[in-house]
Amino acid sequence: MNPPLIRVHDLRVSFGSGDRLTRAVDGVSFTVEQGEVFGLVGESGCGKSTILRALSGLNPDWQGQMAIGERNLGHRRTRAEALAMGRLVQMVFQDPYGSLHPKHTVETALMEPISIHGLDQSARRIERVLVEVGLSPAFRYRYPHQLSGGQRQRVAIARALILSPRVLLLDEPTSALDVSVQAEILNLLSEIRRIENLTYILVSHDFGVIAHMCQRLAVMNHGVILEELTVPDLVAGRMAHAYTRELYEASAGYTRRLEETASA
Amino acid sequence: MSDIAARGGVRTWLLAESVTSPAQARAQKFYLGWRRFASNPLALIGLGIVVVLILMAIFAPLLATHDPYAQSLDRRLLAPSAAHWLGTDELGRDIFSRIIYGSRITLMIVLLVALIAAPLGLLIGTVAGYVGGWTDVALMRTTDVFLSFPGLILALAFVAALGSGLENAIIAIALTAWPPIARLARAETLTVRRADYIAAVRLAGASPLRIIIRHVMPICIPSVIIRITLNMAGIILTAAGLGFLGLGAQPPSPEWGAMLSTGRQYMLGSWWLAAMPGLAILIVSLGFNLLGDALRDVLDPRG
Amino acid sequence: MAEPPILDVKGLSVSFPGPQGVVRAVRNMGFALGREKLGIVGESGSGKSMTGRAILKLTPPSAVVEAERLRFRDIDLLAADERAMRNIRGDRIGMILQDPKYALNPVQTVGRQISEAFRIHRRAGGREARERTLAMLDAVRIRNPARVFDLYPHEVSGGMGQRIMIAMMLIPEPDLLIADEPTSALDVTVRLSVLRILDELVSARGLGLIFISHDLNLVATFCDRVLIMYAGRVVESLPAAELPRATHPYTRGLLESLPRPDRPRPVLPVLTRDPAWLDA
Repeated sequence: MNPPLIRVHDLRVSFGSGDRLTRAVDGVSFTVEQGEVFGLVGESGCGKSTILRALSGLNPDWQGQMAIGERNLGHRRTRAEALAMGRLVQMVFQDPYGSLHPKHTVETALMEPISIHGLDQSARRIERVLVEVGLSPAFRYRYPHQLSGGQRQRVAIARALILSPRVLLLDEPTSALDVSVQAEILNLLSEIRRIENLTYILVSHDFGVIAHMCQRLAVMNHGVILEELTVPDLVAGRMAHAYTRELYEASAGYTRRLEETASA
Repeated sequence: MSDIAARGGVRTWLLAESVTSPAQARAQKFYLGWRRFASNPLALIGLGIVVVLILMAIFAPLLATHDPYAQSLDRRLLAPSAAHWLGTDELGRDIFSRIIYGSRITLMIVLLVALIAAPLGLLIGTVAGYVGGWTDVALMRTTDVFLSFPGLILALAFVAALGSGLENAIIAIALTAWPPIARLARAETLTVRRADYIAAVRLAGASPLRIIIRHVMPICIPSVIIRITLNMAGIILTAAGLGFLGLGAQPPSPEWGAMLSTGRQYMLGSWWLAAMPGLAILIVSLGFNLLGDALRDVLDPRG
Repeated sequence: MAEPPILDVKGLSVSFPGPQGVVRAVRNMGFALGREKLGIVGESGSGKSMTGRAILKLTPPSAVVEAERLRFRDIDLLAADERAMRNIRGDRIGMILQDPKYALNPVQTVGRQISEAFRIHRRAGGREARERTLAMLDAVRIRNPARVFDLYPHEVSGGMGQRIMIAMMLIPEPDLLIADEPTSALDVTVRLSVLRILDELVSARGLGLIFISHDLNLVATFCDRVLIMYAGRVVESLPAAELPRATHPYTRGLLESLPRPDRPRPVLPVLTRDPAWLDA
C-alpha cells in the first residue's frame, strides 16, 4: 500500500511575539491519501486557512514536518523550490472578486504561470484548461469585472490547473457564490478531480459541502484538531466530540424543522 | 476583425460582446473609459485647456504675431490693441507672442518633471511597500527627508547648489515632486500585497521583481497618474515661483513666471504685463486640476 | 385576522434608468406583514435588499420607486416626505445590516451610540438613556453590560457587534424590524445565539420582522413565512414549514441543488433558468 500523499506532522504556526503571541496552529498532524478529498472544518480563527497557507508555501514561518509525495517541504524558498512547489500544489481562494488581477485579462492571468515556468505551446494549454473548466474561448480576452462570480471562480480553477499540480488546496471555494452557482462549481471540482487524478484539501464551514465532496474530515478549534472522522460517521451522528456535534447541528438551520418535515 | 469592421465600423468593434484579441480588449477598455470621461463637462474643459496648451506649444511659430524676442523701444508698455493683442512689455516685446512661446517652456517643465518624478516615485514606493523590512525603512526615511521641506524651498536649495537655469530648475522641481508619489505608491502596494491574486501568482513561482512590475505597478499607475496631474498645477506654480525669483529660465526667455516677476514693477501703470502671464498660469493650472479630478473619477478603482 | 397589517405593500417597483435602458431591480412586489417573521430569500440580483431599502426610502438617488400601496400601520410611506421618514426610521422601523463594523461609528463607544439612538427618538435625559441602554444590553444577553457600554466597536467580536446592533435598533421600541443578512458574516454557532435573541425579542414585543437572506435553509427554519424572489419578482410565497413542498421550479431547483449531508448525490442537480420565470 502506498504511503499517504500529504503528510503533516506537528505543524505549528504562530503570529506576533511576546505577550501578543497567537498560536494560530498548535501541533496539527494529519495525512491525506492520493486521490482523496480531505475536509477541514471549523469556525473563523480555528487555523484551517493558516494550515493551507503553510502547506502551499505562502507562509514560510512554520515549525514541524510536512511532505507531499517524495518532497519534504522546506522553509528556504529558493527559486528552484518555488517553481517545483508550483507544479506540485496549487490553491483556489474563497473570494472570486479578489483572486483575479483586476487589470489582467483571463488570457494574461493564465499565461503568467506558463511564462514563469517557460512552458511551450501556451495557446494550446490555455485552450485546454478553459475547456476543462467549462468556459468558452470567448472569455479569453475578458476582464474580471466583466465576469460573473461563477465565471471568475472557473478562471481561478483554470489558473490552478494550468501547471498540472497533484494537489489542490480549496479555501472555501463556493462560500461567496450564489446557491445555484455553487452546485455547478462543486460538480466541476468533482469531475476535474476524477479526470486529473488530483488530491484535494477542502476548507469549509458548510457541512453540506464537506459531506458532498469529502471522504474524511478533521474538525478544528483554536488551532488544534479535535477529531478526525469519516463522512458516513458524521452523517450518522457518530462523532466523538461534543463540539463537532454542536457545529454539525448548528449548520442544519435554526431548528431542525427542515430535516424533519423533509423526511416526514 | 475585418468582417466585423466591414459590417458596422469601428464603433461596433469597440462595443462587441465577444472579444477576439488582446488589442481589442484594451481598445474596448479605453473606449468605455473615454465615454465616462467625456460625459463630464468639466473633464472636457480641463482636457481642452491642456490640448490648447499643447497645440500652442507645437504651432507657436504659426500662432505668434511677432518675434517674442524682438525689442522695440519706441513701442514700450503699449496697452492691448489690435496691433498687439495683449500689449507690449517694458522692452516693447509683444506679450501675446511671448505667452505663446512661453507655453513651450511651461509644457517642457511639466512633461519633464512628470517623466522624472512619476516613474521614480512609483519604483521607490512599490519596492518599499512590497519588500518591506529594512528596505522599506531606508527608502521611506529618505522620502520623509525630502517631504519635510516645502517644495519651493527645496527647489531653491537645489537651484542654489546646481546653479540657475531652466534645466536645473526642472531637476530641482522633479526632486521635490517624487516623494508624494512614492508615499502614494507604497500605500497602495501595502493593500495590494495582501490580495489573493498576488498570492496566486506567488504560488505560480513568480519572483518579487516580476510581481512588482507586472502585478503591483499596474494597480498603482492610475493613482500615480491622477496624483501627478493634480500636482501639475503646483509644479507650474513652483516653476513660476523660481522664474519669479530669477532662478528658473533666464531672460530674455519668455517663461511665464519670469514675465510675471518683471511685470510686478509695472503693475500699477501697465497692468497687462503681470496680468497676462498670471492669467495664463491660472488657466493652465486650472486645466490640469480639472483633468486630474476627472481622471480620478474614471481611473479610480474604488469609484 | 382582525388587526390591520403592520406593513402593507402592493405593486412595489424599483427601477434604475441606465445607458442600456431601464433596469428593473424590483418588479410588482407585494405582501402584507403582521406580527410574524417574514423571510425574503433570493440570490444576488434578485431585488431582496432593494425591497428592504425601498420600504425605508433609502434607495440610491437614481432609483425610481413606485408602488400601488406602501402603508406602514396608518402611515402612507409613499406620500411621506424625507422629514417624516427620518422620524420613522430608527424609531418605528429599524434596520439591521450585515456587518456591524460598517454600521457602528468607530470613534464612539458602543453605549454612547445606543443611548443616542434612544435620546434622538425619546427626548430623554442622559441618565435615563444610560439605564435603558444597560437594560437593553442585558436583554440581548450581553453578560457585563456596564463594561461593554464603554467599549469601542473594534473591541467587540462579530456576534457581540450584531447583538449591539439589535439593541440599538430595538431600544426605541419600533413596530417593524428589517434585517438584511444579519447573520451572514457570523460563525455558525454565534449565528444561532444571535437568532435566538432576535426570535425572543420579536415575539416578546410583538414586532414584525422582515428577514432578508440568501440562505434558504436558515430562512426556512427561522421564519414563519417565506417569499422567494427571482429577478425582482416574488415567484413563490408560502409558510416556512411547507418549503420542502414548494412548487415553483426555481424554488425546487434551489432546494435540489443544495448539497445535503443526509442525501448524498454524486452529481448535484444544476438549476437551469427558464426565461419564462422572468414574466410569469
